[in-house]
Amino acid sequence: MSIMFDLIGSVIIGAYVILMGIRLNSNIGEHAQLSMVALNMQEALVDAVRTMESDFRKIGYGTVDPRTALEVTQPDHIRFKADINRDGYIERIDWAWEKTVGASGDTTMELTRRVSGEPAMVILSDVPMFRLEYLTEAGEPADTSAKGQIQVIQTALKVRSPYAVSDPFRGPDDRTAVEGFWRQTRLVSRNLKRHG
Amino acid sequence: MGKSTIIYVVGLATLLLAYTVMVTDTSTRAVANAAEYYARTSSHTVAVAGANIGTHFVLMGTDTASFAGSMNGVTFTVTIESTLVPGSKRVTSVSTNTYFGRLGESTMHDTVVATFRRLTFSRYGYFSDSEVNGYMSPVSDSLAGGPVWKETGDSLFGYAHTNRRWNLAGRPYFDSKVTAFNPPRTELLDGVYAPVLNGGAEWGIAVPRSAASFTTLESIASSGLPSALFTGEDVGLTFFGNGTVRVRIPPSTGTTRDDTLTMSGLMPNGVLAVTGGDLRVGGSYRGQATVVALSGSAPTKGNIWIDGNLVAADDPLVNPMSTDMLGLVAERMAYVTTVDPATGVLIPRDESSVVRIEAAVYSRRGILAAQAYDSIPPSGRVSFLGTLTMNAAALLGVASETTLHHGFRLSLRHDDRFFGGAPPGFPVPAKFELVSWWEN
Repeated sequence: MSIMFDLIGSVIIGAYVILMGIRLNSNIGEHAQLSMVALNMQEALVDAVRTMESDFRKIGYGTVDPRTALEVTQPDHIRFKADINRDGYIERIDWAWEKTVGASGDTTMELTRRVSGEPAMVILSDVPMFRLEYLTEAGEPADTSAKGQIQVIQTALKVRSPYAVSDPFRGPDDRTAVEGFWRQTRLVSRNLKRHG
Repeated sequence: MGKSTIIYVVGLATLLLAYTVMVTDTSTRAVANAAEYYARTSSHTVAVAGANIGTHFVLMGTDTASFAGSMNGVTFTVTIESTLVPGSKRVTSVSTNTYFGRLGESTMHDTVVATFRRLTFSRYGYFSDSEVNGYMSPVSDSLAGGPVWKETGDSLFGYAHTNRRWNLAGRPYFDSKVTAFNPPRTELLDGVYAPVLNGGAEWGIAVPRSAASFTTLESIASSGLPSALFTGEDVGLTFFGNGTVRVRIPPSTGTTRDDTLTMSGLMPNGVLAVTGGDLRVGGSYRGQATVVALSGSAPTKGNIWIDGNLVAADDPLVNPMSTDMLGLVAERMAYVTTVDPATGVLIPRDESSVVRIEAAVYSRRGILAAQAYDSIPPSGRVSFLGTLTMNAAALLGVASETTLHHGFRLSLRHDDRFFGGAPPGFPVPAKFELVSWWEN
């Protein structure tokens, strides 16, 4: 009789523990996925920011006349000249926030970088917000038609994970994309300040 | 219950442990990312700080070969050296940052390279030591003084700088960056004060001039074979579009010398200088040259007189790649001639007359002015394409917005060729300037 109780008891407890384990496994898996997505997004954001900072610091490097270094200064598109590789040749670099249509017909905004007319390279693939502000030496908004006024560039960037994930703390049906935001308030190229 | 329960519990604990490691690793990588970004930013900031200190040393003329330092645990080493380009210096700042990342202790470096050179004054469209009336008559060094205002209708192209302060009223137009040592003196004109500063403005900047450039120019002129240094006499130069130049001493009669040579035959090193005399120039030049007038021991000498049009044979307005460049360097004044020196009679001009000047003008003690600018009748317009570097404000005439009372109106345009190039031996500032700044 006691053997029967042992068997029934262990099956009940075992089943409960297994169910707990499955639930735990599921929660941990979702949480790990969420963390991994957030991490991937953070790594992508850091890489993109590093590339952008590196490019923007070189604006006008190697040009004879820095007044002509900035060619396009729109809120979502910048084009500038610089000897980006220190090879003695001046390149034209574009950073743009562009619409792209996916295979399924859905549209997303992506951040692209193009060097001297070569095909654009997608730096970030789902960018809900990208904004460039051009400021004078005094930190006031510059008249972008007078590019010589521009001494400081302020950038803001929001990036989103390519697919939505559920957050175990908010419920399995609450699927959401992870977002990250980055802002650089005083990105300055010394070459824009020089007189020749 | 017994063994199977223990197996379940141990299994569950193992599963939990594995996932905990995975989640912790994700967190660790996230923190490592942030730590690496911070370390990279610190490293970069310290490299920039080192380059800034090196820059200060170069600009102040107190540079040493190298130095090192440390900020927040990040070390930097700065070297200051001459480059292969004569008269230029390079500051290289390298930072070293040791930090703990995912893989343990790592070392990160960042480099900033700044290059400095003494750039010629020709890159300025308009440069003055002060914005006052610095007119000196041909016979006296006394100055009228008093501020000269840039007002509505005045336009300056190319970099504009004064070593004192600008006097701005109404809506003057500045096409490129404007700099000065002091903030401007401002005034309403017809209720308006709204200068157009297309290139922005910056105050607190001084660009000192030195007399050393004149000594250099004199020695360049005298070291040619034949020597292109004339002493104690006025010299007249008439340029021709075929690359020759007629030399007349004295300029009005040519009794001492009157011959025509090629530019390179007259001034093999590209520089001709007169000390203790004046230079009179005019015509259409081909090639590159700098002509210099020095006062020597005669205080009222050292003037350059521009007799009529003085233009490049290959007009830079038509061909921006033209290689024809002329520098006019005067220790005293650069006059636009308004009285015929041979007859003493006023040169007949009216309000439709145009005098064209294409040159880089540098005046050490004086300015570019029309001879007797404030007493001659309205004489039209001086169309100037080049660069102006002077002790005070240019004075070609007296005009209001709509009416020309005396002399000329001035149409001033910067010749962009002078931004990257200059006539031979054209003066340079006393201190170095930043020409390029590289950051990773």
